[in-house]
Parts: sequence; C-alpha cells; structure tokens
Amino acid sequence: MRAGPVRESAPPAYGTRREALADPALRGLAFPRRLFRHPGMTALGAVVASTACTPIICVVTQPPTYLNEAEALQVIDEVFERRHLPLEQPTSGDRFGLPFTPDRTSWRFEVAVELVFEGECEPILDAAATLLAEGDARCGVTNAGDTGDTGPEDSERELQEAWCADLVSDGVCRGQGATEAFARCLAYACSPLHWMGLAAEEWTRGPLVRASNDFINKVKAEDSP
Amino acid sequence: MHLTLHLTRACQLRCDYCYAPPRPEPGMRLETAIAALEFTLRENHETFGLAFFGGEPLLHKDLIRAVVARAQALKSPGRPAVRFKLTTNGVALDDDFLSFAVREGLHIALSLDGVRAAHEAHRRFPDGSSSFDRTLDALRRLLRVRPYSLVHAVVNPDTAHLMAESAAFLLDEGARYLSFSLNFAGRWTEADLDVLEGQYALLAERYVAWTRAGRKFYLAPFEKKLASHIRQGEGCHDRCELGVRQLSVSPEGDLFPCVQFANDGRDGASCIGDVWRGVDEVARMRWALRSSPVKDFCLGCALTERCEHTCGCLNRQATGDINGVSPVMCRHEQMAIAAADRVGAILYGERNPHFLRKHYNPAYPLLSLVEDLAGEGLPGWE
Repeated sequence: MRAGPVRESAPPAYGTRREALADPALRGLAFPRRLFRHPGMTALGAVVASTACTPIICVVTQPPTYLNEAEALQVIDEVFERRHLPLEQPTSGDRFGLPFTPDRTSWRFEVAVELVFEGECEPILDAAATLLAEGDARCGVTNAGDTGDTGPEDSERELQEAWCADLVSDGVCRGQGATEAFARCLAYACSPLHWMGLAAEEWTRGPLVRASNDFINKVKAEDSP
Repeated sequence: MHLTLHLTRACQLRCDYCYAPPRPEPGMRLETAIAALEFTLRENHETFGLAFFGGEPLLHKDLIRAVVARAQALKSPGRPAVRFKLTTNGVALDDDFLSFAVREGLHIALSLDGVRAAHEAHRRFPDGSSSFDRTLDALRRLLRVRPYSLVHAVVNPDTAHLMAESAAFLLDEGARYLSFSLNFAGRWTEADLDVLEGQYALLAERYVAWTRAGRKFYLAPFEKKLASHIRQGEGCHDRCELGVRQLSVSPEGDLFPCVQFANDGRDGASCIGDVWRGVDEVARMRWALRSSPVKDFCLGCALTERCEHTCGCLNRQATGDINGVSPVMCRHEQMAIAAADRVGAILYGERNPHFLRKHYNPAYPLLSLVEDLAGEGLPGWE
C-alpha cells in the first residue's frame, strides 16, 4: 500500500490567515465592510461588528433606555447565560459541534454607549457607522427594539405581542422592555452560532420570531463604501 | 469536558461496520446517568458537553428527558451550562422528541451515509431491510427545525465510489454540515483507495464549483485540512485527549477514555473509574500519556501537523492500538490533504470572496448567519 511518511511537502499554494490578513486586498474580501440597517430604527441598536481579528459586540443606546456600560455588559451576559451565544469551543473538535463556532477566547466585548436623542433614528445609525469606521470594522448589523408600551412592568407575552404588532417601524422600547428587546435581537442574530443551530423552532415558528423575521425582512442591506 | 453517556448497547439497526455490535439490554439506569452528570459537574470543568450515545440513544427518550431536566435543575451561577448533544440513526426520531430537543437546546447529529446505495449497503434492520427511507425522513424533519444539524456519513470500501455523489445528495437535501469519515476498520485494498482518491478529486472540483456559486456548506474532512494550513495546525490534534477532555460512561456507569473503549468492560485495562467513585487519576493520566503526540509510524513525516494520526480511537479501530497508525489512514490523510490543498490553491488564487470569508474571517459564522437572516444568503440554494 502506498503509505508512509511524506518526507518533503511543498507548502500549500494558499495563504495562512496571517499571510492573508497582511494583504489589504485579501483582507477587504475576507472582511467586507457592510452595514445592515433598518430605516425605522429608533430606540436602540446592537452592532455586531468584526474587526480583522476580533469580533466585537457593541451596544448603542439612547434615552430613555440609558444603558450605561455596566448595564450593557449585563445584557450581553444575560444573552450568553441563556446559551444563545457560543462561549467555548466544542470539546471534541468537530465531532459533535458546529465546526465554525468561534473560540470564546477570540471574542472581545466592547461596549460603546452612545446617548442620542429620543425619537431620532439617524444618530443611532450614525453611531453605528462611526463605530464601524473608527473601529476598523468590516461588518456590522443593527437591530432595533421598539415601541411604546413595553416598559419594565410588561410581561414577556406583552413584549412578544408588541413585537408582533410590527413595532419595529416606529416608537421606542423602554426600560426593561428595551433591554429584553435588545437581548432578543442579539440572541436572534447570533443564536445558530451555537453548535448546531440552537432554538431553530423558537426562532422560526413563534410569534416573536415571525415578527422578528418580518423585521429582518425589512432590514435594508446597504453596503457601505 | 466532553462526557458521553452510552445509554444502551441496543440498536434497531445492524450496521455491519459498527465497532460495537448491538445487543439487547435494559440500558443505563437513571441513577447512573444522574451520577455521571453530578460527578462531572463536581469536577468543575470550564465547559461541559454532554453527549447521548449508544447503541441508539433514542431507544431511551425518557431517560434523556430526565437527564436534561436534572441538568437544567442543577444549573447555577458559576457552573458551566451543559451543552446537550445526541447522535442518532434517526429511526426513532419523531416530532415530539424534536420539539423537546429544540426547547431544551439538545443538538442532534444524524448518521446517514449518503445516497440510497451507499446507505443501505451497510445500514440495515435485522431483517435485512433498508433503513434509508426512515433515516432520510428523519433528516428532512430534523432540518426543518434544525437547519444547521450535522450529518455523519461513513465511507466503506464498497461505497467509496459514491462519496462525491452522496455529498451532493445530502447538500441538495438541505444539509449544510457534512462529515465524511472512513471506516478505517474496513478491508481497504489499494484499488479501493485509488477509487477513493478519485472521489476526493471529484469532490474537490465540486467544492470549488459550490463555493463559486456561493453555496454555504461545511464538508469534512476538507474544512479541517484547509484549516490545518490556514490556521496552522488547528483542527487536527484537538480530539484525542483520552480521559482528560473526554470521558465515556458505559451503561453500567464505568468510565472509559473515549467512545471506542466503552464496551471493554469493568475489568478491562481501559476502565478508569466509575461514576460513583470518580476517575482513577493515575489510570486517567496513564491513558493520556500513552497517546503519544507523534506515532512511530509517522516519524519524519512532513504532514503530521495536518493529519488525524493522533486520534487514539481511530487508531484503535484500525489497528487495535491507540498509537498504531494504519496504512489506510496514512494514505487517506495524504489524499484528503492533497485534495483540500487543490481547493485552497484554486479559490485563494482567484480570490474567491466566499472562500476567503469562510476560512479567513473568524466571525464568518455570525456574518453568514446574519446574511441568512437578512435573506441575502444561500444563493444557489433557493
């Protein structure tokens, strides 16, 4: 049988990650600059951005939510605690796990708190764009929580109904509702990262999800220059 | 820590390449499974993946539900969340269990060897009838709720000529995560391996074509071999830490270093403890140290950093020795690396954006998902 040690092997004719990232053109292709945005976004947005080497999760917020940095980090923790985001490598290679799951250690969390004026949507988008630009990010997604009656006293059901009522087009998601909405946005955006497609049913069949899907369908993909 | 619970040695199928031929038995008791769960939690690992395995684990759905419920009840700050996984032949995968799996975050991988001819050549019921239709139905129902589920396909000497066709078939069925692996214990001849090499060449061509078309997929071993160069050694040597990062629990509650050992029996040399008394640390380290990082067979080889030769389980399956590398594995690894490198050279050379994003951007899963959600992705799949 033709088997046995290969004494000499020419290097493969394609680059390592380090080599590719050193090439600006290749880097631009691997990390396209994109900003997905929703024209009606108002209250708060989550920007999930990736720099050349490190995914960054940024939180952009505004009154009346007034998430400060610690609160925003708490939101992220909550999302992770719910196992919507991958926190570690599968423990046995790709045997059972989603092979592309990023290594937790390669994630860095940056929280940028941008206070903007209530009812204004453009500042959020501007802030997101600025983060993407200044952070040397190449990709981002913005989501919005929404409208009026989802205060801290509101139930989960009410929150879901609020989403179902197509609230993403206008209005403000307040207080705890905003936090929850943000958490759900982020979780929704990231959930299938976790091993083998977490909570697909939850995110594809439930009423919240239908609303979210409607929202996503409204997201206008705009490639930034 | 990756803990595998072998819930039973029983199975509805009689796959003739199975390294653990099924036999009827009552299966693991709930007390045993809970003890395994609690013992692992006490070890306080940073991560905890819990796999339900067999035999066929879905013969014991109630046990799975009970273990998951117990794990959820034990959840507390400071403890790692338990990631549940299950590998099944799909025969008993029903919508009720799928709902449970989705609700509880239990990830399901399906064993389906590809096209009908490849699958039913070996995966049959005791009466000789084919399991293909049942398993294909399971795949379709699984993908409806878990579109990112993994499909395991085993390639045998007599089905090697179907590998490329099987990959295309599974992708067309909607599976995006495919893992093809060889039955290393099969009776491979030089001619069989020549056929396999031809299939790798064909699959490499298709990989390029699919990528150019913007299709999203994961296809092992291509991805791992590409990653082993692009990310310099990543992906090939992270599996085999016998007894250190992974443990297998037999239905009786005995602990073994990995899945291939779980039928060795309590008195076997590979038993390293049980779920009540815990791991015999000396035995655990002995096994870990026995798995040498470079095997004698491989000394001087330029490809060791990109090769699976370190996997003690595969070595044992093929040669009976965790450090014994079979010529079949060696030949297979060489052809898989060569095929992956052809793919890499072509797509990198033409600066294919999908290839570059997939393999050079660590955030690709997230970005790809956002694309999917935004309805931009999956060209060629519509």
